[in-house]
Amino acid sequence: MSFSEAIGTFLFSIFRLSTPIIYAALAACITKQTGLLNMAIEGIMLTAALSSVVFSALTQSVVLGVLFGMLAGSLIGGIISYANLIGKTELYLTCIAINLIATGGTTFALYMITGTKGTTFSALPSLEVPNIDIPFIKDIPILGTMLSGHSILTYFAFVCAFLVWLLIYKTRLGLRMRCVGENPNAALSVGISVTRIKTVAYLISGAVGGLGGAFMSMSYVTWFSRDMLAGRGFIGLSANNITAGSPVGATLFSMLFGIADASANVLQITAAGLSYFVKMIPYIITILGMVIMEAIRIRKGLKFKDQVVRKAIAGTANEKDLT
Amino acid sequence: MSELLKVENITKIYTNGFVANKDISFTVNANEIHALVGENGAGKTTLMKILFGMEDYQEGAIYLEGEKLELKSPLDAIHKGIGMIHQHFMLVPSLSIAENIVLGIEPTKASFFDYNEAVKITSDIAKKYNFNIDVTKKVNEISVAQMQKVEILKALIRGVKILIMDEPTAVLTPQETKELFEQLVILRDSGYAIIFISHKLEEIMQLCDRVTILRKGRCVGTYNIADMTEAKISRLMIGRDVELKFNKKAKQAKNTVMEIRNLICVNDDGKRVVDNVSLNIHAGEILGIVGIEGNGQKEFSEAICGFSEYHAGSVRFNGVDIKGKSIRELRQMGIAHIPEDRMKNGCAMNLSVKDNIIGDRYFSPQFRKFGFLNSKAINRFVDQCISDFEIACDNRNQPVRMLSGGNIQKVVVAREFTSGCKFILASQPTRGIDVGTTEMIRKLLISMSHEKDVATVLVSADLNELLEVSDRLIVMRKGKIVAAFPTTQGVTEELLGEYMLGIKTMTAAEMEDLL
Amino acid sequence: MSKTRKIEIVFEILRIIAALLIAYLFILVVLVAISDEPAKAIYNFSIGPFSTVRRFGGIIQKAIPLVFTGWGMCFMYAVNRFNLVGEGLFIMSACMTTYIALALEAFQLPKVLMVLLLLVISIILGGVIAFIPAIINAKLNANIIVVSIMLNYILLYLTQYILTRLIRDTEVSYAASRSIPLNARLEKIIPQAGIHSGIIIMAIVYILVVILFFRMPAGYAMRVVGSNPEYAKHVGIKVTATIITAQVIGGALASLGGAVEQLGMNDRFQWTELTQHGMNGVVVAVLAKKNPILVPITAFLLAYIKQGAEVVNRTSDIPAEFIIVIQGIIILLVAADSFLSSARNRMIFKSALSPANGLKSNS
Repeated sequence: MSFSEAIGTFLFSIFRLSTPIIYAALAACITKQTGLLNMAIEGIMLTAALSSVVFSALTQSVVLGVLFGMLAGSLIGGIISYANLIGKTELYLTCIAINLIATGGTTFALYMITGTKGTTFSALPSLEVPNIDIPFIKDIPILGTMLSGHSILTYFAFVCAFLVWLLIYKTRLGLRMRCVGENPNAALSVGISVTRIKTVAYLISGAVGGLGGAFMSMSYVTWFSRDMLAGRGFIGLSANNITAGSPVGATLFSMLFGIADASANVLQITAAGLSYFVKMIPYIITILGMVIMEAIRIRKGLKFKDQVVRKAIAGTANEKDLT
Repeated sequence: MSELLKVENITKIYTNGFVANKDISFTVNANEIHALVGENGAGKTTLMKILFGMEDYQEGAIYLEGEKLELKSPLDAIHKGIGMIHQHFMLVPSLSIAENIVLGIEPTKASFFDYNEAVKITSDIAKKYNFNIDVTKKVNEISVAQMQKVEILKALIRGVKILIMDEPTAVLTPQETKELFEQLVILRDSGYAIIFISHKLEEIMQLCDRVTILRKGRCVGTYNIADMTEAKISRLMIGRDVELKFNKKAKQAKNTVMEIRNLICVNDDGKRVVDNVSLNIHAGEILGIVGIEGNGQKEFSEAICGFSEYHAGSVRFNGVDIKGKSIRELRQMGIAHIPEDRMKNGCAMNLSVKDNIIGDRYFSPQFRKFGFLNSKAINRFVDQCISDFEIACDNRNQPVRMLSGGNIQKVVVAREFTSGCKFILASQPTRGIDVGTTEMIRKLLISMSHEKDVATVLVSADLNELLEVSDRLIVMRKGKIVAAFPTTQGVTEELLGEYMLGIKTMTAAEMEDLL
Repeated sequence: MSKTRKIEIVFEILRIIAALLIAYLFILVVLVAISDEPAKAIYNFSIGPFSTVRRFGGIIQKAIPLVFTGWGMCFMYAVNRFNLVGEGLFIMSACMTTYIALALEAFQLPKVLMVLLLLVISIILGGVIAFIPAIINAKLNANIIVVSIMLNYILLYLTQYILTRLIRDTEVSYAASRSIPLNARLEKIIPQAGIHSGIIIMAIVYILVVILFFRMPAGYAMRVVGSNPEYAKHVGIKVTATIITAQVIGGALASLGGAVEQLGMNDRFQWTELTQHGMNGVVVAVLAKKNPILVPITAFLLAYIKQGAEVVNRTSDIPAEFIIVIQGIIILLVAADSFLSSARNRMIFKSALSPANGLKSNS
């Protein structure tokens, strides 16, 4: 492998590894607009991953496989919103419970279907979402290796980011979602059902997360294995938290975590003795990313307040003391 | 006049067993401004929420033009033609006026939200009813009076016939109030019915056609304004002629407890909400702070208690600068605080009466034995408080949320008054509670300061309370002290009103010796 | 006691029982649906855990670590922080105690000293590690669930590093540590039921935890902060410090659980994935309504279900993983405020409307 090819391959892997995180971050972004944190994306994606494998193998259709992934994601989203909004369960506990149900449920289902607890690898081979070579670009060195030959779902992740942006800022539903997130009483006062908007947000969020799950089991690899998400849902969630709910920002930050993931992969090959430490990198980067961004945000807030105070106090000096 | 709305025997009980409305019946006609009055806690807000579909009820029925209504949500109410202007505006600050008005009935083009169309239809309706606003402005850029107009437009564009207004003038200046009344009369004359909730009896006399009076969750009756006087209404509201007069001894000048110099508080928008306030507070006196809500009283009082920060100036308590001191340190120095919102920070609603009374002193040696909490001592103390302050509860372990508002406030007062304080800040100490408890708390405030030499600051929206309880008064407006009175003798509500509204202002020289 | 209060308490208890019954029924339905021999599966699940002394001992064995992680979550939950680091701490603590026991093997310390030392180390370890997500959350307002789950992965890989690089027994073919020295192991006190002296440690800690939670000023502060932080601030309690302290104590307890489990149950450290004990702790704490006094009971209930699942798993072809699903369902039902609430509210309305009770004065 030539050096430029190696670089290209590395850059390629960034996009590949970012894909599930982007979907997770976008899923989080949608519910965040309505003021809710979707902490069950991990569970949503895990369920979707299994659903995709099973239905693609059953129907022998890639499209149906992906669709059933989205459907499974939406179903979980619906359960969360039912439990949280109708059942009035604390959101944190709901999401913890949903993640548990997804972890146990997928393993259980896996075993019931295939008779093994590990993976569907041999028993239930999944179809693969096709990869696309982009004409012309694919022949450019480095750039071609980097951008061409990705799974449709990888390209669609970026399309999806745009669609989510459209949804939030350009549609009626988006307007209502922002209203519900910013002042639920305002929504209530004009007869917008807060519960309904939040439920719809969870359903869409589940579908987007489901795409991420489908990518994991029909593209990243072509099987399902237990705990195959390995925290990617949470990493996506934190990418969204860091950017305070903007779909474009969330996508960019997901790419950053993708870079960390890709670097870890490269390191794993070169530094075999430290493989466990290398495996920690994405998680450490996630925590560090959150720490740094929140620290910057808080410092900025303090600085701003400080300036505002200074200005306001300086203003009095010139003014006649009324009291 | 045709009957538009009929409310029949409405009863509402909250899940904590509290009966907010009992057998309420009244009617509202078209072309009428119908006042709804009652003391705080009389059940007005609950009743309005029921009419607007925000709360359910256990018994009774609501009819609109003879048709029985089943209001499950505000949406139902709006569809049937009932609109509501809330006391706290229901607007989304980051959206434009147009977007706020069309929320829920948004125009679309090719399934996307059509912003231009929204601007067009909202400015059309604004023109039709003679509202002078720029609908492309964001809500966080406009004045309170304009926000109110946005709220009214929101209701009108949805074709409501009945407009419920919950204390609409509370946040307005006199000029804005006048403008609002003119607009309301236009609406009335074009066939709308308006349910007008207010405390301000003179406004009701001036504006309304009929009045329905609520007392303790029950309906006293509906009367023609023409047959009423302010005194009559107020008697029916309270149920007896309450003359909360207290025997106050003449106040002697005592040593200064709290010394406030050039205090400035800045809010997040860079506005000076407390603007260069200097003041001395003496032992044994009650200083009343007068002002329309939102003129810095809250920030000022929280700053001198160490509950929120101040940005310039100094506060010395018995000679010690309070800057940088924790709330616990300040409390141990003798500062006590009855907070404005007992639900938010006066109590932990799910904890027991006991836990709420010992909150500020559970760690003190008096209540500890070998480092553990001394249950015996705590229980003895709490039981003493319960009997001293006549807290109506089953026992000390009952969660506070099960008590009535007045008894919750008694728990707060019991904690703060037994803390051995030398200074007490009482923020709205009797807001929304029954007459009996109100009387008790006022008496306690007076006896604490006059017999135990506690320096007291009373912040209240109730002018009557301020005049009855305080020894001296200051008026705050836009963060500044605009008037000071060394005694309440000869001070009237009308006079205070003129200072509160900025019609009059004292000069620094006039107030020189009074602060 | 007022009627309303009585109704509330009764319904609270009813709700937990109903949630457990529903979960139990759900299990039975699953067993019937998927088992080749439903009757046998149901018998094995429901009666199986009590059928032999050894199996019953299995319930107790399983309950012991859950009590510790349940207490841990009680403290986290008491200040409303869903810090899930207990999951990672459990395995980390088990790994570290093994590592240190092996490192100290040559000194031949007396058993009491050795065990005590290991337990103290596990407590400190838990406190220190739990401090990390607690401070990040308190100072920077970062989402506690994300931080603690990320940390759990880091802890997991750390244990795997220690296992494979530092304490691995090269004589066996699978990934396992060297055998834990005998002077570090907890004695089996009821050998026929496999119950080890960890139960005595549990009893001692029980007393300490209950005293701390209900009888110490620090525990009082935690309950107040958890109930209403604004009120806590108002009366002068240091809110941030209290929130962090509670999580440090919670982490220490979960970590202690890991050490007790490892020294009492296992010959070697050989876990290669997270053990779910921390997440079980969430269920135990939720069922106990964050009251540490009730934790042993709820831990026992969960251990019974787990043991039942294990018996079923051993005697038939049904994987024990469905128990994790059950836990999720239990959390949802117990924590669902509206579950049975309409029935409760109807009773409250009825009692409030009844003439005997009279109307409360409206104030």
